[in-house]
Amino acid sequence: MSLTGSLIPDNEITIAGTIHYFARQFGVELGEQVNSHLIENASPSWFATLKADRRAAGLPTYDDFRDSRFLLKEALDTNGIVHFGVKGFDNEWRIIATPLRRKLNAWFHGSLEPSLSTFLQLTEGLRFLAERSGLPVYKQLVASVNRARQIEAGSFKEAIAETLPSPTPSDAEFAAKLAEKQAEIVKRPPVGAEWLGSKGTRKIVISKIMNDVTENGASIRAKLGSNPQEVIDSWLRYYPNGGEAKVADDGAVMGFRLGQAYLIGWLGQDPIFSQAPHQNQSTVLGFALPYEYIFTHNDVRDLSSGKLLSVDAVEDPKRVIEALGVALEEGEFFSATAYGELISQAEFEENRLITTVHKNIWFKGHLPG
Amino acid sequence: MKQMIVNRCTIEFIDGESSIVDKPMSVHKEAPPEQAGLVNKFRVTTTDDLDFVFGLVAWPQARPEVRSIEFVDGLSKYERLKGAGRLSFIEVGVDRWLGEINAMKVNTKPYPTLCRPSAEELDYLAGGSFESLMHSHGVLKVGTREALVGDTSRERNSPAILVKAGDVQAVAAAFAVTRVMAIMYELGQKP
Repeated sequence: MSLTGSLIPDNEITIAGTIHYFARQFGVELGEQVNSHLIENASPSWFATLKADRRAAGLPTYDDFRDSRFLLKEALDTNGIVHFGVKGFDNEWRIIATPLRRKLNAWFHGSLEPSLSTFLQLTEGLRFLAERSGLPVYKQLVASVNRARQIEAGSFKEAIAETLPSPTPSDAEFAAKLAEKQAEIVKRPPVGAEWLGSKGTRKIVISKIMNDVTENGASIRAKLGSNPQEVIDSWLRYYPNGGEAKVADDGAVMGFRLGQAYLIGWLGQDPIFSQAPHQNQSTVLGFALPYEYIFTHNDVRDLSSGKLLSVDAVEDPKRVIEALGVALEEGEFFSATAYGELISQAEFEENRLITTVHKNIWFKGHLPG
Repeated sequence: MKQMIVNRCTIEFIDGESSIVDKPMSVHKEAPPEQAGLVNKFRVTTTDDLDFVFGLVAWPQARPEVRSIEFVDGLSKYERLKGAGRLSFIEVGVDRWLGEINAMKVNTKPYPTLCRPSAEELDYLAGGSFESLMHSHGVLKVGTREALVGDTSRERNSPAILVKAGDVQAVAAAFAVTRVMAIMYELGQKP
């Protein structure tokens, strides 16, 4: 992959590769800084000791002191020693690093969309910390952030070649994986999203007043699976008045609302949620929505609006809160994808799918439909 | 063939006049109920796959009107326009037509019928300012019947448009908004 070209907003591979490069390079430079300082002022075996302590406590251990996630997590631990090795570490550094750590985690788990907005969120945080800590990558970060801002404002001209980063094959590999994921989303977006691609030819009628689904005038209720009522209810959730709908070859059901085609559900098993990676709950299909949620023991709070799920949701979210209660500690952050996947992201562990939600048991306007 | 876009409708004007023999909606006094007219056809296609041909019919002894010609394909809700939703015009002076603006709306009946729309509803159906949209397609004036032609009858406050006689583009734009878009948006229907 080459970054000698411009960072253009619709080139996800370039964006993803550049973010990966900066996150990695930031870790390498900060890690070396911390390591030098701690070897000299604490112990030559500080990292080995830290690993051993974590192992003894039953916590996951770190492989590399130059991993940016390790550095941010440990630097934010006031009882730890890493922050002593960070040049310019102060309260402001901590304030910027706290949300950046969560975002970097999500990034490395592949749950952030490789968009210009994600790019700016991450690189602006990295730029601030790199400047405070005097890291050489700061200069490249400034150039890239400025370039991205210009692209966002529509005033971008030629990139300055000498300030562009040099990504490695690992950056490119990571970027390609994200691009693959994005292609899958385009192929079959979440329920409630606008329909993409060719329309199905099989025609069914979802009747709200008859509480039935017909094809050529005959009921197909019995063919809707083990719980036909649940299927009808789920379709009507995204297609409130019912009416004619079309079914694609893979079972995706499309209906029109206000003249626009939407995916309203699936006839038969949802092939996306039934595929193997999802069953082991380690792979998420969608990218994280631009919201952060905190579990409050008996409710969920959306950090951006301050709203509580129990107040905002259209339907009773009791079963969601119960599922969250099993998986999360009080005060734990988590995120959601447009597919309604609620995911917990612990450091150095795979994404954990907690449960799935539909739009009526989640915050209004957060999920498609 | 000329095309134009009206919110989520594409209107394609079919070249040439065709003859039609049928019963006009508003025949002149003592005129025969069945007449031979001339029709200028236009096809309306929509983002939800409707393909419907309508026509502006000039009758010898009846008011000009827009009516259904052929429902080619589309959601069944649009079939209502096969038999309802005609838009007729009153000839005013030498070369002006006055059309009352009603929209297909679910109101007192469980299916859409022509009802007087509010200004907000018209803007909603037009996807912006109804008045601006109408002007952009050649409608001369938008207002009440009283404002447009000095009507003093009990219909004087009804919303209306004034078009150049025979201006099929202006007529088709008003028809698309108040009939096709109203059916598409299921105006008046509660979820």
